[in-house]
Amino acid sequence: MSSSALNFLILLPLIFSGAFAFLFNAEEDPARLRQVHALATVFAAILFLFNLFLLFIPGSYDTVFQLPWFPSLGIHYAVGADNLSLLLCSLTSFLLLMAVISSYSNIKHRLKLYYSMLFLLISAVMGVFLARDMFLFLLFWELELIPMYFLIAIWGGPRRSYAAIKFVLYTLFGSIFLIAAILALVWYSSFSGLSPDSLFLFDSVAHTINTGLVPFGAQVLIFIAFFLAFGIKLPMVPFHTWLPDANVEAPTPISMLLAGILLKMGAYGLIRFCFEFLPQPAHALVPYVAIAAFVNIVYTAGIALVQEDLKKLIAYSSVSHMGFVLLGLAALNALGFSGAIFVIVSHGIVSAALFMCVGMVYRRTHTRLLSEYGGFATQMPTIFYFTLLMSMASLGLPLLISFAGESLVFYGAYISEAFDSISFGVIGQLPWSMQTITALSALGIIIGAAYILLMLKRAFFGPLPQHWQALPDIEKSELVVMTSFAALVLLFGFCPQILNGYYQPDVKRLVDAYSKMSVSDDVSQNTQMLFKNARLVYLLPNANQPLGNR
Amino acid sequence: MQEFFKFIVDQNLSLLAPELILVTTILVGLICSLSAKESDRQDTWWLALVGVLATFVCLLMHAFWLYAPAVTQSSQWLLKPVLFAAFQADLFSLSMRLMLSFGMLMVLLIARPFVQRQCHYVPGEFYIILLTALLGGMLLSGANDLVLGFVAFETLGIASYILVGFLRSDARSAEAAFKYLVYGTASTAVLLFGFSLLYGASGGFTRLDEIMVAIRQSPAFISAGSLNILYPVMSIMIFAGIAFKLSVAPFHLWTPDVYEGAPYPVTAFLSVLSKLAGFAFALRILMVIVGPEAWVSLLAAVSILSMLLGNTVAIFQNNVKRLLAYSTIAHAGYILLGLLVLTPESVGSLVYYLATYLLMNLGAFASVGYFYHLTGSDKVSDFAGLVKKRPILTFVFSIFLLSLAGIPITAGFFAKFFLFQSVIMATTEHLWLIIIALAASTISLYYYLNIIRLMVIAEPSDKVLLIDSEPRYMTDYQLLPNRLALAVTCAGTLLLGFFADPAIQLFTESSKALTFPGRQVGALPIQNPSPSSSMVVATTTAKHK
Repeated sequence: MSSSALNFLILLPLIFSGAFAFLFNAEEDPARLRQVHALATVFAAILFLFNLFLLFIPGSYDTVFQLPWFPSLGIHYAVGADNLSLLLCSLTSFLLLMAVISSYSNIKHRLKLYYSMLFLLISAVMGVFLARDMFLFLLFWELELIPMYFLIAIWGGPRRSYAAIKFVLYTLFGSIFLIAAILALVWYSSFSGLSPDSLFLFDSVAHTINTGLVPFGAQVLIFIAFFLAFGIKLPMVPFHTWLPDANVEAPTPISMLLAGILLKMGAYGLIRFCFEFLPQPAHALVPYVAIAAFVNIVYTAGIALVQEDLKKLIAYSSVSHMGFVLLGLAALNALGFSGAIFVIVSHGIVSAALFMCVGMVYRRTHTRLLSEYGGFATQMPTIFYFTLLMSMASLGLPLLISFAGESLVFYGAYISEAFDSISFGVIGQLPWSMQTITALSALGIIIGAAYILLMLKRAFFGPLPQHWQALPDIEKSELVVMTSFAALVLLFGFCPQILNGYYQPDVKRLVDAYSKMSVSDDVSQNTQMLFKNARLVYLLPNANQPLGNR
Repeated sequence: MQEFFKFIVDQNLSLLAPELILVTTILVGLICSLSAKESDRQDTWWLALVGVLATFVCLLMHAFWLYAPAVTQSSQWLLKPVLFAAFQADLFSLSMRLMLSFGMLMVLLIARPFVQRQCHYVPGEFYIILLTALLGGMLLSGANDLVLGFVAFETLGIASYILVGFLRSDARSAEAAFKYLVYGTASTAVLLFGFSLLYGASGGFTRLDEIMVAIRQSPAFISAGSLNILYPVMSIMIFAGIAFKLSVAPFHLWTPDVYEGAPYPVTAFLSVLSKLAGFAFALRILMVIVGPEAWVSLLAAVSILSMLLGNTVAIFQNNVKRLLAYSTIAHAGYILLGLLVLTPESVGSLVYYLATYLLMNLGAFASVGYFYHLTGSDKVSDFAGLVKKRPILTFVFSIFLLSLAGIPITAGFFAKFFLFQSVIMATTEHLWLIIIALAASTISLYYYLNIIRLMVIAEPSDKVLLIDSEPRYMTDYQLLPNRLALAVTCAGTLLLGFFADPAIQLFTESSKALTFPGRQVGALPIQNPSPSSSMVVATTTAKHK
């Protein structure tokens, strides 16, 4: 298979979206609603199967499929995929299928608009993961905003308008820096001697940076700009407040996608732009990334601990788990990168499943306040078992999916010698090494266990309130979704090497960028001039080996 | 007779054929509408439409038969002097005139229902004056002479004053016309004073290319190697005079009131065509008077002020015409960014932005007008729930608003990005300005999205519920021309972005026509900087190896 097949990952959802928007009429009688849901399921299944097909049929997806689009401006339509991109696309199409099935019970009105927006969103997200041109990436990055705005603002909870506009404005605030950074990079690449019609290609930008055309100071600024743009999407602590709002107000299927995919766009951007394209500033700034990771993990875990609202609790735990991604990246070694990517996938599955659980409980009780819950284990045993499984996966129980990712991250971070103290310029310096921060971040795991167990206790055990004596147990569509999630959680929990082995080529490429750097002299001089205490990355002797048999 | 033909050939009047067609249409229309029966006067619309269409086709023929061969055969532009070189019929003015006449077609389509309903007493005059304003705009976009420039400027201006006050019975319209007249006359006086300084300084030239050469050696301006104080006074006066037409802050004070009070088609005309012509003239005259670094900071300040003020004040508007007025102020601010660097690429992107702006802003006003004819309201809150009654209008209006906000895949996104890119590619000095512009457009999404939210999500307002049930408002059938305008502008807004490349290349080529003989764009005061610091790094790395 050549990489031109990847176009269908973007085109198919776009066609489906158009089909829903323009082809079908919008009658709102119940029999018709079911048909529309069924049709959407078929579409999502087609996309998912096609994606699986791409995943398992070997192909040269790495060779970029490109068509000149705006040659005089240096812009191509270019798509390509390495294993990381393909993995994230598969996660997207899987979660789309789950979201569509869970829409059966959750979405009852304006289905036509709903599905056209949903598929448009998926098309944009696929585009973000597959784009190999800066401009195309930006286009898809911003295209995703409007469908998501409508998905939250029309089918959401009581404060949906506020939550939706907050989501849009936060992301757009980030794209200010994204656009500025892209323009700056392209300006530099216009001096690289590459043909002017390909300035925006990822390859040209990477080439420009590798040839040392971008001065170190500029690289640092560009790194910071990218880090802000993607950090807001991740989300990263001072900019995380949009996520709890958006997640709480969004309907269940959209919460699943929001936590499962949209946050991963931020993580993907961090890996691709900050850590793959800009290894030098990444290395210099890694102490601050580690601090951001620590704050993300522990601070939001602490907030989750005191939440009364079940959905908010899960949302904050999402933010906390995305901190693990940052921590893994900050380790700058093979284990850390593998762990970060593993957490991206495992969190995508587990958090989506948890939001599904919350949605199931909410549908039956119409409240999300933990104080009004209690004793649901006897009332809804199947829902309880699934929630229990997902909660355990979330707190990182061995043999479930998150365990592998989190232990990779912590092991990688602990043995990383990326830095051993953090300089704050004139203010002074913090004598914290990567190990200290890793140890402190491990607090997040303990707090995580605390809020998850407390949540389970308050919701599912104890006395059952009088007015909830007749709560129905799980429905067929919900059972399908939860069983699929559970199967993946167990599969990757027992055999993490299936997943981990898959993206090793990308991890190797990432690590190579840093190992190459350690031989070059002037980089270290630059680094030392700006940041006295940043040391060169120290790679483990076995860093490049696959990690399955650890 | 022979002398007459000789004059026509010598002065290359064939290059002015589109304007001559327009003049003929105006004269014929004036006579017809005066002599026709009262009941037939509405049909002046057809005459005007045919006239503008003929102008448009004539311009297209010029483009294909005169300019296309010139482009392919040599890089020398057709620069035949028209009317003693008072008019420059180069590719730049051609593309601006094409845009203006296309825009006028749209305005005529929007105007038809309005005139039938609200302006039935003098229908002929309305169209005639509209065409006169177009004539002024078209001459302005090619004016190469202070006198012709001023005459065209005034033709456009005076026609606009009359158009704004066309609703005799409406107090808001009268107030708007008066305000516009007072501001307009004052700023014209300022412009004229600037012109007279320019005329004196150059030693008695009125043609821009002659002034350009003369002014650089004029002792009145250069004393002891530095510029005389007269220079900034003159350039600020000229800029202020034109900035009134562009409605950039702080010369925008008339804009909200006039846009609100004027009839819909006229607001559409003022916000798009009048500005387009103003930018064309600004580009031409800036090439002459552009000078020291202070000029850049002046433009930058005006641009920032327009973007921030326009976008923040727009948030608080409840009248959709006022809201769009503030939005056009902000857009003028973005466009000014393209004037900062004055490279062929930036001017090309600027003209592309103007083309996009023409489509999306005309479309927005056409949607607002359509809604007005359906409900009689122009309040933002009355748009609530429109999707229940008119889903397609909602979709189309949302496309225009998203395009104004710069959201993909509409043309506005491409235009904004390419404009910013061209500024950055010329010099990274202005990166901070671009960041401010991006921040401003982030703010703008808030109020554009608010209208879309109301239309799509909110419960229907009383006005929307009354659609189709009130006989005093118009039906969709009566609004057919307006729908045609909506369809054309919407298709353009959706598609123009994808075909930006040939458009920008054409406009970049056309902007090269702006450089006068003996003067290269590259020799402007602001030069393309080389990335000196990065080059140093590159060479040191090479040494290491």
